[in-house]
Amino acid sequence: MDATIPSRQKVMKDHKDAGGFTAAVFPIHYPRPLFRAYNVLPVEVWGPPKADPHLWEAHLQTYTCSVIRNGLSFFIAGGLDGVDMLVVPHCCDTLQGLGSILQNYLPQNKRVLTLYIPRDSREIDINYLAREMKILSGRIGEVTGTELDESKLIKCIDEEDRSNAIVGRMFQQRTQLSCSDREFYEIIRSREYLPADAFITLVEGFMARAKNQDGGRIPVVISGIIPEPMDIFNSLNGIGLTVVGDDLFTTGRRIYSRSDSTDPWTRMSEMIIKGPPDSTRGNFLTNRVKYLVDLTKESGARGVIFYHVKFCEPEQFYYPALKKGLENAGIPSVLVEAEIGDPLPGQVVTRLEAFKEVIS
Amino acid sequence: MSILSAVSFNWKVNVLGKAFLRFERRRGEWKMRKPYKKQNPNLAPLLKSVPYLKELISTHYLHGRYADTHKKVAWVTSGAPVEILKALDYFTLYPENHGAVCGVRRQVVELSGVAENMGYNRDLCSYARGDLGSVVSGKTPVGRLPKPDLLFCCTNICQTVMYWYQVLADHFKVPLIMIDTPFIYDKVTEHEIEYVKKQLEYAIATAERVAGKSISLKQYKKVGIYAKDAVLLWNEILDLCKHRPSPISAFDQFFYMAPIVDMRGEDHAVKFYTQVIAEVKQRIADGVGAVTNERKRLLWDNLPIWYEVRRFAEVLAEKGYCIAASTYTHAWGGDMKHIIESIDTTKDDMDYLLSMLASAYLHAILNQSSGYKLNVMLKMVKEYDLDGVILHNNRSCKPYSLGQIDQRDRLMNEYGIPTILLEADHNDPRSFSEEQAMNRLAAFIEIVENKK
Repeated sequence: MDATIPSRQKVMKDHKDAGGFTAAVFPIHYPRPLFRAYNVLPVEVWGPPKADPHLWEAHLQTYTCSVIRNGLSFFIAGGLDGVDMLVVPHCCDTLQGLGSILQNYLPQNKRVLTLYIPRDSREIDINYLAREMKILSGRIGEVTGTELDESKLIKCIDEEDRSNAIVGRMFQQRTQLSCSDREFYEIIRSREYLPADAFITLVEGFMARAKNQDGGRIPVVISGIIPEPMDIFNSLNGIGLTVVGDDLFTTGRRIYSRSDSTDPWTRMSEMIIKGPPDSTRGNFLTNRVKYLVDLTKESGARGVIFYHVKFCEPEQFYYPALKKGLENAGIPSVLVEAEIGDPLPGQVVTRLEAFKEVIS
Repeated sequence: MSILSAVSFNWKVNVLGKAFLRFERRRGEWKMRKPYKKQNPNLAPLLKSVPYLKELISTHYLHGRYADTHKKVAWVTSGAPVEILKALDYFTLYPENHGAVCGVRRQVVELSGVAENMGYNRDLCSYARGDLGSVVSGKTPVGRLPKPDLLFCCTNICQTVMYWYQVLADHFKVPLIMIDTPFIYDKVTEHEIEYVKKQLEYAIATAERVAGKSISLKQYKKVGIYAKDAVLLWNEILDLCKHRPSPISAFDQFFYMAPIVDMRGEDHAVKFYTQVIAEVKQRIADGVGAVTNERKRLLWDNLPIWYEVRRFAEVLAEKGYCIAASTYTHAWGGDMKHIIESIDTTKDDMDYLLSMLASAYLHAILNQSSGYKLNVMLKMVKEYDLDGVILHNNRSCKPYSLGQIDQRDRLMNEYGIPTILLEADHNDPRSFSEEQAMNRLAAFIEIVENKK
């Protein structure tokens, strides 16, 4: 596959050089269009794999997940020095702790913006999040020294809708795309830092070129947090499996649907709150089970791989119910754990090989 | 409830059970008149109100054992605005309190094993694991837990409860009310109070539907007054520990806080704490300290290590150390107490009362930033005249523990307060190394001793 994906550093530098701002955003849910409307490039921090693992030890316990540990190390090492603001959405107790540590204890000259994501999906929750976003908007304005242009915000939301739609299409057409899973995910995950228009252009080009999957691999769904280390895809393809359905925090669970509201704040709020069922938003177990079973069936997958990061409580709590729900639907599953920054354990590959035998 | 089940319930609980537990209390009080042969010389004798506390807790669980035959039952988190359920006459059961009982009785490993076999990871909260294991296996040290008609959780203590109660809702197939309290990084705003208040209105509608009756303002106010009185009395007891020597220690407080958790909004808690205050004041008048030779006073942060409470009390008392205060037992103190104190319970205005309820529960210490908690600790160190801080680095409670490393550094380096980070788990002894903990404690004591 021949798709040139610009590096994170280059995209950030180009944006800054053009007079824009940058925000380092910790996982998971946040309103991308709001930042872009302020000419702020949101760049996501999913625990960079090469961060010094020792730096976090001065602030975090060993029983925190590596996504947050590595993210904090990266920050302490100066990896986020160039950004104009940090953003910590409240999506779990660990992110809550990180937000506090960044705000209360770590010296810095940049604002730490927080955003509380409600854990239900009623009208009051949608309205609450819309109001939260307005408060966030004011804070972004304080950092950038600019005011929000609502027409630009609407344009950015439209772009984000297109972006969501195109990622959805990528997954729908996955079996017809002749590329490795790693190449596929490198494209999709560039959304973590590319401007929406650049991402759409990249994907459109990729989709036009990538045709005629050679087939032969057994289709599976992947569920969990983040596909790191990305070697997981080399291993999957190497043993004859391919990902056709995605229920990961980084990707599938952030393919938000278009909102019908005419109010931009409600649109952004609904985008997140009505997104695919997600543990961090507190969606009911039954909804998560149904979603995962449907995703597996609709994508033609023969099994589900739970790819967890150690110490991720939201995922750990849902896992037994999901496993049971899949079993009831006759869908085999396997649970493997990996740590960001560590090489893919051989044990994981062995388990995946055994799983392949089960679903062959 | 049929006539037969009403008679049966009253006979078992209100006649036989109550009589037996009252007899046990009197027997306990009688036994306490004589000096206890195995009394640890470093610790004060047990408080005379201990048999009363035992009676209260046992009666609560006895009611619980048969509650589902005669009234609606709700399982509730410790920080939930339970007043609305009490006003609807629900029997409320607190899985966290039950978890603590399991911890003290050392049954968590077995119960947790049941949950772990179902696929619940050992890294999850040991309260949750133990409770889920108890629910599935039916095993409990309290005889029997009543099946809930309603589940009621509030995220002001952690997000864990949201997941935990979802699993319970799925298991029992009953409605779940979740009060989602946005985390307070800085100050509580009207926007947040309004959001929680609206959720309380939703909650009332659901709770009324399940209860089959409507909430009355009169009953709600009555419950509110009991809750307010209990909170203020509890805080008064804690304040009395500012006295030197401290009349009771945090190890006493850990057990004495049960009524403020389990019986908030009931007259039992008010009566009990009124009596406790009298006893604690008498101790002060008599010059009795929880630690007989109190030399140093400490602060405990985070939940207790339930299965080692006694051991820690003895080890510290031997050195003349008293843990006079704890952020955990002060959970209904601080900002929360001030708001509860300011509630005008004479107002016939449900809208006002719900706003105040929302505000109070948003201000829970665990729903506020690590920096806020550090300030609370610094204030407590000053007010209680403390010599050091033990931060229980609790593997099972991330919201309480994350930030402790920085808190330790600030307490020690900026304020010169000896501080230790003690690794354990509040309920699972498999995550506790006694030898390591005691070594660290010995080193900490050395630092406290050497501090000028």
